[in-house]
Amino acid sequence: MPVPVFTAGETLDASEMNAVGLWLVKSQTIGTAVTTVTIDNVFTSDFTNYRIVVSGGTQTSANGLLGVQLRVGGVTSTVSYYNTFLYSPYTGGVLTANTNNGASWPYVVSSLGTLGWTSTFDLLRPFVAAPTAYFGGNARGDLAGLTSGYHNVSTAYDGILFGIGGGTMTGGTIKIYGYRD
Amino acid sequence: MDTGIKTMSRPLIQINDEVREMTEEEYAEYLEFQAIMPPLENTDDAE
Repeated sequence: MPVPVFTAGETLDASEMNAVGLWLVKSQTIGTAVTTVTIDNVFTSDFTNYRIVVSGGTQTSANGLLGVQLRVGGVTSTVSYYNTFLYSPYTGGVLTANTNNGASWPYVVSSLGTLGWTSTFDLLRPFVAAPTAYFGGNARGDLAGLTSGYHNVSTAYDGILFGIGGGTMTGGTIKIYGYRD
Repeated sequence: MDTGIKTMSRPLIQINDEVREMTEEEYAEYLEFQAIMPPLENTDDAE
């Protein structure tokens, strides 16, 4: 099936719409001088898996990290996060591992440099009463990395919290897409 | 009566589109997070 091109007022074709693989569920602009951004009521039974893109914006402190925690009913889960964040400079330096082994805080999914936030990650089964896994990567001016891990709590989560590890952040966007089941 | 004593404002958080100052409890959790999230070793001085 060729890629459909829709025009204003056109009647949508079911077969074409049902072939849409990613659906934008939420687009959240990051505010001014904030330390955390919480997005609630975003994960639902409509999708099992999600793609999250964090881009742009600025930060007051250099070399910070952006982590996440999962939420349900407005309450944040602060236990049982496991992840490995592997990164290396483009100059060919040492491959470094930043890890969390059952930590109270989050996955490391982004690293900020002069490029602004540059990160995408997949969140698998957040709204299922089972452990939630994630896989992603990020790049900045001097290094790039891959990050993966899981949250070992069998709870169906409906929200997510992003927190910066130092200073504050301003601007940029967080886009959450659902993968069609 | 203005005692001249000024309390330090807490950092800002954002919930959906609302931005507000942290509560005392939220500030305690924020400090815990800051303690376990060190910056990466490399500095970003080139693009």
